[in-house]
Amino acid sequence: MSALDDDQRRQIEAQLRDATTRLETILGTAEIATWTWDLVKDRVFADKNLDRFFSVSAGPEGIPVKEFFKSIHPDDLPAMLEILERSMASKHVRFESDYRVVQPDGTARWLNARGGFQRDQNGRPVFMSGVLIDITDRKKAEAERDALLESERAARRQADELNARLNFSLSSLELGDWMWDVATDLISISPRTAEIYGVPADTGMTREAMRSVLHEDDRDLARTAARQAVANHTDYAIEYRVNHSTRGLRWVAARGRPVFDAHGVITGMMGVVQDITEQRAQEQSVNDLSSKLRAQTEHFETTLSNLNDFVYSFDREGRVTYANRSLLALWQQTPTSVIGKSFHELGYPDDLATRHLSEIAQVIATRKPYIGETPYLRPDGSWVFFQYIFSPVFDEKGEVIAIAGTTRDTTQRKETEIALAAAREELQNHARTLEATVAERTARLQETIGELEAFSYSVSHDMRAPLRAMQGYADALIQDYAPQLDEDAQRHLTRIRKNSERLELLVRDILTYSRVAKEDIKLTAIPLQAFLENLLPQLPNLQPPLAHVHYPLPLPTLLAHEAYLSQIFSNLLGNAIKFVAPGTIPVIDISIEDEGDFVKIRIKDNGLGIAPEHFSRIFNIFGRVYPDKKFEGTGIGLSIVKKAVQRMGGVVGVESKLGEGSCFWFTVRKS
Amino acid sequence: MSSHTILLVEDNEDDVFLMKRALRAAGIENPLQIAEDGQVAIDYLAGTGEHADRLRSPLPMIVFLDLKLPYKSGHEVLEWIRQQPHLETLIVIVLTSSNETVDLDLAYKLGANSFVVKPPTATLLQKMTESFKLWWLNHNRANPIEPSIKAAD
Repeated sequence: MSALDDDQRRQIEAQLRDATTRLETILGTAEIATWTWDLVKDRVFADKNLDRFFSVSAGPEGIPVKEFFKSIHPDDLPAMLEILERSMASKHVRFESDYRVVQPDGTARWLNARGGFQRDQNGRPVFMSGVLIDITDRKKAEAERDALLESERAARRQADELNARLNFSLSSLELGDWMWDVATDLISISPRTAEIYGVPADTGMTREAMRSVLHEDDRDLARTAARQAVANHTDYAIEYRVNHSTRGLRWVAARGRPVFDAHGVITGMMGVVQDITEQRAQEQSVNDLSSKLRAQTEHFETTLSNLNDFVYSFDREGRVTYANRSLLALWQQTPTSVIGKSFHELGYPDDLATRHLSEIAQVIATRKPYIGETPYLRPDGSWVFFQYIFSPVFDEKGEVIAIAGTTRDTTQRKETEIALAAAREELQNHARTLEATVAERTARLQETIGELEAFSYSVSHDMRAPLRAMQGYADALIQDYAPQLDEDAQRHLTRIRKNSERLELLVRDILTYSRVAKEDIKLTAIPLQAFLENLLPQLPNLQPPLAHVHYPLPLPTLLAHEAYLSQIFSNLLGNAIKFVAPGTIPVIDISIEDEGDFVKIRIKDNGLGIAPEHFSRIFNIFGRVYPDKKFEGTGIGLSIVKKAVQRMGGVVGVESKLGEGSCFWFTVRKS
Repeated sequence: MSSHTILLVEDNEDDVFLMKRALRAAGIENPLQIAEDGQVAIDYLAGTGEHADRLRSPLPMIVFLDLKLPYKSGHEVLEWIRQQPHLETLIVIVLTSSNETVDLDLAYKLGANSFVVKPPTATLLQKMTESFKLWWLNHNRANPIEPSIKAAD
């Protein structure tokens, strides 16, 4: 070393100083700081820049590292410490960290720190040294750049979005677009526009060529609209027809806008077109429908207005949705003032409003019309009767969406009904009175009849004694005094006796009739065959060869009164043999017809017969058809038969023709 | 000795006449006594008053009894007869113009021996007396009625 001369050494030292100064100058200018950290003693030795960055004064002795950490921005410190620890622990991790250091004035300085370790033989770090570069300006620039980039991206996104939305709008509206360039007079059209016009998409066309596909009547319209738009710097919107090459006549809506350069000189036009053929057709049909609907509504309204009946509708809550003129007149309201009103709001009394609401609820629930009747107090104070029908109105799903109603003023009918009911009641009262009167008179009549029967019985009975006496004395005279009497006297006495005998018969029959009429009887089972077999032999005139009686076998068992049955048969059979033409041998046929609970017994003879006009008379007392002289009888026999049959619950009748025999019949209960 | 007397209780003198005549016509010779009403009939049978003398008013073997009588009806007379111990077997033939069931029914219940409706004509009445003679006087055997011995007698 001694070989190196002093000059040489001084020169080198000077150069070193110079280099150090220069470095410091450079570093100072470059805002770069350097440091060395003695980890064993925890002393950081810093240059002037470092002191400045961290606002400390390390001095030649150095200061602990934490003095520097104090100034690091709290948001950045943890990340820096983590990198520090990792790089301390591993030889392969470089220490580099960007962080902010808070300055005394509150601003932050961005620093980029880099460093390396010197380690002992065990690999433990003992010294760390490095540099700090102020990157505040860079960070600022980076931030500005990022912001710029971000705004650019946002603008692009917005543009893309707009574009997408426009495309979506165009496609969803099925809009075609076009652009015309003045310089070339060519129109460029989108595929959709080509489709709408029915022209090829890729060939440029002139405006006039384009216009030629328009319906000839609409070409002027299109031309004029475009010219006006150019002249007025406005948009135009027109609709015209297009002769489409394949789809025929189509309706197209077109919007156009002239495009000008900065000097206001036209450079072209752009626009959109839309096929509106179907839309127009729909509009047309909608228009047709609505005009029809209007006409119909007017028609209905006219019709309904002229009705005296009320016609109206409610919604499901009972609020008025329609009321015809008659109803409005009753309410003293106008069409607009009633819509949406409830019964309460229309001034209905509570009970009636509540009733109507429950009836509406019933219509909704049952889906069936409701018919009701109510008295109603008119605003003028008079009472009327209304009959009304609430009917459900269904939507297409079958839900009840409204209630339609009609109401009729039934006051007059009601009054008529009331009058009718009153009249009916009066009539019923009359009928009841009449019935009572009839019942009373019937009772009195019955009483009278009973008295009369008793009277006739007792009269008849009392007549018998004198009659017997007269007859007896006549007989006595004839028998005891015959020799003293001449022929005339004897004949007169005989006449007395005959007449008294006849009177006796009359009395007997009247007594029989009276007895049959008034007696209480009991019906017993009587076998008809045995009955006839017993009865017929007691009637001598009915025995062959004087007469012939036929009856079928077997015969039913009757429920009858034996004495009456005898009386009936005796009388009818007696008549059958009595009223015959001279020389005729009576033939009598008895036959039976079943009539359920009864049997009809028919007694047919071959006698003289009876003219129909006498049928009703012959059953009356003394109702004789043949004169006394020819056929003896009292004229009471058939009356007795009728009475006896009736007393046993049956009916009696006759069928006959004059000269063809008679058939008397009667019904009697079966046993 | 049993009585042959017939007592006819009948208020109607015509009927009495005709009956007498009919009995005679039938050849009935029995003595005939007449009582004109119900009370007389009872007196006769009781043997009181003017009928106390049984020689003049002997107890009958048969009574013809009309039902409709003054003072006492035939039914009452019959009822009285059957209440008398010595008369309870006396033959009583009801002879009436009544054909009423109630009359007939009551008569038998009170002890009548026979019930005959007065025949309406003289001829039939005579036929009846003839039958009566044959039946009641010839064929029928009556229980002899003895006169009661009264303490007063």
